Amino acid sequence: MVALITRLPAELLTEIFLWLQASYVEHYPEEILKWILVTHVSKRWRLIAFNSKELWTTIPTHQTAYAQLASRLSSPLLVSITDEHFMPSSQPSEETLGTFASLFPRARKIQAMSEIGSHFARALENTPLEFPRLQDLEIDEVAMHLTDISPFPNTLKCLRLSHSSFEWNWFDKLDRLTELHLCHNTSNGITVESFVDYMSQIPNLSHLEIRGLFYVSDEDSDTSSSHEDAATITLRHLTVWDSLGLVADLLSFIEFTEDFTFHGELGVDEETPDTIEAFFQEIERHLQASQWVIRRASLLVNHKDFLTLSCFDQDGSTPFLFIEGQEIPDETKEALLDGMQTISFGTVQRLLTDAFTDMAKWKDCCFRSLESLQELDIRNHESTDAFLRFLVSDADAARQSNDWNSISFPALKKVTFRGVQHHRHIEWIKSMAGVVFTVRALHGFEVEEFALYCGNTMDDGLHHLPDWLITE
Amino acid sequence: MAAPATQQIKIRCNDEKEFTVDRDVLERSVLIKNMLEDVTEQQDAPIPLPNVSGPVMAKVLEYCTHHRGEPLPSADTEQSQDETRKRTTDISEWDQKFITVDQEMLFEIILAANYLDIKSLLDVGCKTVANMIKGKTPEEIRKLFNIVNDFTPEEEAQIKKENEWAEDR
Repeated sequence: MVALITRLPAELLTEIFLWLQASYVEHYPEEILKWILVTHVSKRWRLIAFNSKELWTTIPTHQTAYAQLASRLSSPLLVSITDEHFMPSSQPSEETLGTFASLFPRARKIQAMSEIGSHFARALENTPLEFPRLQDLEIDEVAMHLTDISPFPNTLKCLRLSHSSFEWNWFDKLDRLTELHLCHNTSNGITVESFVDYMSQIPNLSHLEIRGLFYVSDEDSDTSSSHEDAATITLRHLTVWDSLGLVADLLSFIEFTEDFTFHGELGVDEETPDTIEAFFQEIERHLQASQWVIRRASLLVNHKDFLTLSCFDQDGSTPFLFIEGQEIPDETKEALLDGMQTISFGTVQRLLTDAFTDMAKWKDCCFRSLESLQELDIRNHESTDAFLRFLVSDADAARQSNDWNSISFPALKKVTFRGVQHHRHIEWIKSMAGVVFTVRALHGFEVEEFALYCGNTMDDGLHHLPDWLITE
Repeated sequence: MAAPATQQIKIRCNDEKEFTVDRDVLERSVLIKNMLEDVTEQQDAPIPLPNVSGPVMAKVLEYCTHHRGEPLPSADTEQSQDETRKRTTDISEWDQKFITVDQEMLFEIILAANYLDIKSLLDVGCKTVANMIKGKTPEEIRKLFNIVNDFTPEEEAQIKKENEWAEDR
């Protein structure tokens, strides 16, 4: 029988091999070279792979023989040299270093980390290397002072500096730089105002990532804290790890593009109730000024010491606010949940949460003003229980007053309960006349989906429920 | 001027099977979109698609209908994705269910997506095949796709060396 896959032309097999590579890079980066096993399947597959330059553009440093083959087969102008995800047990051989030095003139991307990083650094200091095509440079663990950027051309679009020491006055030479990542660097701390001043000298900067504290607050410095004449930077994306306090200070210097996104992770040791409060106040300030609009939000605290808050704009596809934290002390968590109260969630249409657990005043505790909420996804049994208890009393109150406009979520149309485990939940659902829901219950009862369209009387909707469920 | 969204277009497959489909659904195919833009007057004659059979087209239309209205990748976006090699290999739940078909249909869908120039569908198909290959030995891949091992002993020896690269980390 002829192999069906032979119907695919060479370019489509190449495409499949590229996806295979990408899949290893994304999920098992340490196994990236395993993609080469496809060249061992048949002569045709080997020939196709060897003739596809784009398959060989990433040249890892840990395998000299592969690197040499790849440097021969790759596109003559575009290669990425990487030692990401590899921790060589010994220093690279002279042969390996020679291979890479010959590649630098045609390298579009270099990731020089761990052992290669220090060799790369020394090479920069001692040899007049040229990188005329370099667009993306990542240097990690380079124990040196990069006082001279002349080896780096102004072709650089993306620069990642980690665990390195450098001079701040570098950056104004990088005309084309759009993306800058500064992670745990050891340069002397500067004030946020001075930092913004340096960043504002990079004309095309739109994406900034800061990981680790590197700054001294204005209060601790001698600098006047007047912001009136301070520079600003216009960003499309800001990522800050380990310091929400920094965000609070930094946001007032930033102008946002329309599709601005923010990603933050809590620095548990660095955060204090004050920094958290300042952060949320700053977020609320932008919401009030209508610079940001939240359409969808999720708040997860399910694993005791883990918290994620994400907010999405417009159609819910773009996260513009994402905060994540692990191993959060109670005090910090409390401050975070308090902080949520300062944010106006009035524009949220979809909410995903498990944060109703064990919260007597859950609604006020996490979110306020959910009048636009249309869709609610409750992620665990405990929250389902708490939410249903609340809804029952809410519906009862509305029924008694005969005022269905007073219910808490007037726009709510769909609720997903994940964890309906007790018959009482069904009884509660059945008792909520006047609330218009589509209920999707997962786990516990093996119910895929049922509808509960209740008008002013419960009976209007009951026929949508499966018989066995009603009689349970 | 853009045609109304409700305009119906007729297409004819290589087995004479005909479909009448909303224009915006069909325009997920860049090939058909370009064809329609080139035609200034409304035509009643169906658009011939000589490289696609009826059953495969039915699957393709199921995909296009589900994804109607989503933005099409622009040429610029495509280029920049290729340049940066930032590929995300995840497949959405719906797409995964959709592409759970036998091998013959899978390869036919990939060929049709390539011919009709539906980039997102082509990606789903290629990612699915890549996922089938991932983690398998060459012998297991041959067995999966019914491919004959046609290497000479000398080539096998070279390949054996390269196997060590794959294990090296």
